[in-house]
Amino acid sequence: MRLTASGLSFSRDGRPILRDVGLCLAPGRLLVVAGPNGVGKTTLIRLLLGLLPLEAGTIRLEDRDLTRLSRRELAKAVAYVPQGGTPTFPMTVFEAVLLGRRPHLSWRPGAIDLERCAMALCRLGLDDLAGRDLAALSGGQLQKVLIARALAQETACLFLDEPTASLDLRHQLEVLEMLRELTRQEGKAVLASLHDINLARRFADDVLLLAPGRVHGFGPPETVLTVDALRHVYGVDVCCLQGDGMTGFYPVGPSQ
Amino acid sequence: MQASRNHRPSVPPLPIAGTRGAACRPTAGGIVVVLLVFLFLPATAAARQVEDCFGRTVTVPDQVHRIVVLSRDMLELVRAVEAMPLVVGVSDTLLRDPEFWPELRGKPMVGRWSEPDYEAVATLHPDLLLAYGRYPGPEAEAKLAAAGIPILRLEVYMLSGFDQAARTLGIVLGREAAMEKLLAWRADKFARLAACRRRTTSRPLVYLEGFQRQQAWGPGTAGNESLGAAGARNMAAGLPTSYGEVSPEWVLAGQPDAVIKVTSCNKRYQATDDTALREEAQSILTRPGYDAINAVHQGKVSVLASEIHGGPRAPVGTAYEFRWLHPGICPDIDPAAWNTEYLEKFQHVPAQGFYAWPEPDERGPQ
Amino acid sequence: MLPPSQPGPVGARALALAETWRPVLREQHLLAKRGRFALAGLLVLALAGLLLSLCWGPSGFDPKGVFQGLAGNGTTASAMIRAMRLPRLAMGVLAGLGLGLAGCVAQAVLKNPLASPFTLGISSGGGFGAALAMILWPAAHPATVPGLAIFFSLLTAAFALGMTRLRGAATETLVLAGVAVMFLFSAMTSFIQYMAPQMDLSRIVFWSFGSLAKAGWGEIAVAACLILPAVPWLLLRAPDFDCIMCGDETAASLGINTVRLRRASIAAMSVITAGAICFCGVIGFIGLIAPHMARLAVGGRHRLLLPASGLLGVVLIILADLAGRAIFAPLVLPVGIMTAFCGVPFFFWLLVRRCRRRS
Repeated sequence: MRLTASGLSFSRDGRPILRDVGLCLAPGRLLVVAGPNGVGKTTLIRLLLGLLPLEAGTIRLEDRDLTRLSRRELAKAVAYVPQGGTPTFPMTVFEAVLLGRRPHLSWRPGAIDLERCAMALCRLGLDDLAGRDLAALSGGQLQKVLIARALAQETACLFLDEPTASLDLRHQLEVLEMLRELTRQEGKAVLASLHDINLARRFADDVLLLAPGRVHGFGPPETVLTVDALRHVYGVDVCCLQGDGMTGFYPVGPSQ
Repeated sequence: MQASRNHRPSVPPLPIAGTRGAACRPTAGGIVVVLLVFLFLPATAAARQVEDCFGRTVTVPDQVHRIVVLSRDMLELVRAVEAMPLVVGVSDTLLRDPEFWPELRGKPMVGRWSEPDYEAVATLHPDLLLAYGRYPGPEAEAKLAAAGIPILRLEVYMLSGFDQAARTLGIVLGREAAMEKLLAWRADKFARLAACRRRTTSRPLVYLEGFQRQQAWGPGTAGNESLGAAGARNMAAGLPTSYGEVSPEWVLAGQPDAVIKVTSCNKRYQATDDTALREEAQSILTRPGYDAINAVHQGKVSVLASEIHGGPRAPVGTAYEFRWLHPGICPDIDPAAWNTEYLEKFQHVPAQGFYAWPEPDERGPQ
Repeated sequence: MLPPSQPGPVGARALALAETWRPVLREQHLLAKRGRFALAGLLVLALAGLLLSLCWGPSGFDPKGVFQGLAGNGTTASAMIRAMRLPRLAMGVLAGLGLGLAGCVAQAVLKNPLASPFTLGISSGGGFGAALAMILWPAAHPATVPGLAIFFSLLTAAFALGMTRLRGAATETLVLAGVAVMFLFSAMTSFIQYMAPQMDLSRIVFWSFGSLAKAGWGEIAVAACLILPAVPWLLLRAPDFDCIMCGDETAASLGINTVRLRRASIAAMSVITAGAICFCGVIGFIGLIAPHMARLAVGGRHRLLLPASGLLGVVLIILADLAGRAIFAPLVLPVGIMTAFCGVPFFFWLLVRRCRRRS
């Protein structure tokens, strides 16, 4: 399912946060939104989900205006993985994943709902944690539970807000490998915001680089994530390193 | 009996200035000095020790000229012994009843009966504050002691202990004779009731309800004593507390012979008819399940006003109870007439108002 | 119509996983069965409590007399059972059910495990209305007190709903606003108590203790009209409550109109609570502890949690009423006091447990 947005603008308290942002999310591709802190990555995702009101611009989901869709229809098309928060109420892992079936079920979960949840759990390797309480999980496990919930939701699009923010090296790689697998094997359209440029460069199919108040670039990571671009956007001098057939950026120091 | 002031100067006569060794002829200045000394002497003269309702000794002035009264019962007693001119301040509820208390017009208000404004009391410079046993709280003694005002706490609500409390009040106000007249009137009425009690062995079981719904009068209450004096048995005499909410099922299971409600409807004196009392009785009849109580079914529900229940006018309330519970015994006892007598003779106000429903003659012998 | 979403895992991968997710499903089926079993157990407990309370009277535990009373007609026993005890129990069932449900909804919608139906100030509003009626029209028709109590309860609820219209109002804002409203009405009620003559004062104070004895069948019918219609609506919304507890954003992304749900839930909760307290006075702690006890029994899913909460509310109120009648018979201790006695220790236990979980 193709998602196109153009001319998105949003202000808070009179301060413009996003101005004239456009992107195109195609099925089977992983789009990474990158940029410094506070540039509006989370705001952009919320706008695309319809959680914040648009000031200007349009978002189209396969030729239909997103703002005209009902909440339920949108929930069947787009799944959201927020940054893992602290659960206030006791809830088991399975129950948390079952929430993802809400757009599909009427009142009681049917056999197919339970099946999809179980599948999602196993896909993420959480099957032995199914009965555990959420509060007993580590940050990485919690993030995986949220992804499992989004998988159980069975949508064509998947939005993730900083999925690797509190994960260690290994879990970061696992999550991003899984996202790539979702795009390649199931043709989902995935949008994720990342703060780690190297992960972005390695895994993304497209990158949307945001600078304060504007879009610095949109396109394949090689063309968008350049040393110059990083200097402009982050104000940091980086040097480009290559090894084992992979390219990475190493921060040298703040630019003058 | 007027007690005489014992003038006992506490300092020896001063040497008069200006005359040394000459004949002691007082000069004008000397007289002024002596007078000033006497004026500023502490009032070591004339105090009286009396007992309050808790048995504590309270020191009150020998001659009381200014009093502040907080409770209605106490004020009725004060008026009964014609000591109203001594009253310099009253609580707020007493001022809201000008028809019954015409003498209080223009008198200052000192706050609530349960928590008076101590500053207002002190401003009036009374010799004495008359209060209930428990209201205001014990801090009152401390606060008024700073202003040198004693508090006399007397329980004049109950039947037992009334005579002693009233006598104490009579002594303090210097009106023993008038108080004895009231006590004699009461004693006479209670004696008549006792004689009528002896004429019958029936002691009906009564559910006596207080101001709140389902609130019963337990042991140690005026209601309990009143029923005893009226020749009846109080259903709630065995309750663990004096006042408590009882379950309606217990009342129904006990099948009392009569139900009497003591109501707190205000302004019984100004009432033009007994509608309010009758409506209270009606509301008891319509309580869920109450019509299965035989007494209620037969209409043996009566209502008493709190003014005639306990306090100085207790014989009136007890007389009503007696007439309701023992119809046909001593029909010459006329509680309404007793009330009229009390109001005219002791309260000096025209007899009026409605205090009980139904009037015993209306029901007739049953 | 949007094109259908991509199917779940297919192909070799799925077959390989098939063996691993079946045990998960089996485990969940067992848990679900356990939850249903527990719910049935709660129903049995509620019925047992009702039966126990029905059989307890002024002469103690007397089941034979009770059944004679139920069967008979015109005798003292039958009047006692039919006209006094049954209405008391019926009112207890309605109030317990309503308060338990409302408490569960309050905790979900306000996302606060210490929330109760009274968090938004509804009980203080009702108390103020009742006090106002008692002091302004002390001898009026008996319907003035419940009438004004309902009016002011709904007024506080309308105020809370108005707060939800504020753009930046999070649930914490709602809770704080509710606390402020509670203090306001409590202060106004205290003022009325202060100015009231002694006789009315007791009446006002007694209303705040809660009592099941004042309701006759007419009042029960009115309370039922207020409490029962909202129950099926709330039960249908159970999956939405599950979602909204995870946060407004998550719930919205799962297809729920959070603003509408919160508003409608607060409205339903307020009507139920108003119906429960206007004839009984304030009966506290049921709405707070019933959901937590229910969660211990049936788990966190609202499909089971809501009815379990309601049933536990019934159990708590009936047992508290029985204890209040039995301990100092024939004196009756107000049911609100008994629920506080039981509720406060449980409340502390909950707090300790929460702190342990956090650390």
